[in-house]
Amino acid sequence: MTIDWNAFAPWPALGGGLLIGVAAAMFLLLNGRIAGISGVVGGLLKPARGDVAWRAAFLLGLAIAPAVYASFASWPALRVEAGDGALVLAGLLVGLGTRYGSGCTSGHGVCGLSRLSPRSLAATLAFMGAGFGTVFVLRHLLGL
Amino acid sequence: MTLFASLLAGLVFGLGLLVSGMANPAKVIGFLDLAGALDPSLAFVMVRCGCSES
Repeated sequence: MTIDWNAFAPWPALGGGLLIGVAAAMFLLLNGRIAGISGVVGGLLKPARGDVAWRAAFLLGLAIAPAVYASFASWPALRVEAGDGALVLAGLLVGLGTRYGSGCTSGHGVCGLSRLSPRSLAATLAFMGAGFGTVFVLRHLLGL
Repeated sequence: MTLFASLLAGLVFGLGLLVSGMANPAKVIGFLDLAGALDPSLAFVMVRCGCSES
């Protein structure tokens, strides 16, 4: 295994992680809910009375984040390096997987691990392992 | 109040994803590529998330 030191960016990673952790903690304290993105979106697909507005507000905040980010001119430009087809296919697979696994990187990986949930540890190990495996197969066995 | 808190939490969460680079699929693949040139940045994101929350 070699480390790509050119791509390694610990300060943005630490800063971004801090923001995500603060957002998740704030959500838990003020709303008493787990900031799992897949669960928040999933709940909108089967709307229940009184359970829609906070989900929509959270997703609106998420959706305007790129515009707010772009308003800080000194921050590095955003890059999304993937084809449209790949994004759609990957999004679909992530959606299916997070429903079967009852959560995603935010719900299990961030919120669940912080709460020392064994179920979230199992889920996080499973999806990180599957991620490592998928990249290995695609990049090194199939050469994509 | 909870609506505003939800909006703010979503916004801060999204900014965190953008600042950390997790919104870029190429960056995430760099972290998942153990056999190639590994970019360990995202490990810092996850650890930092957990530390700031607990």
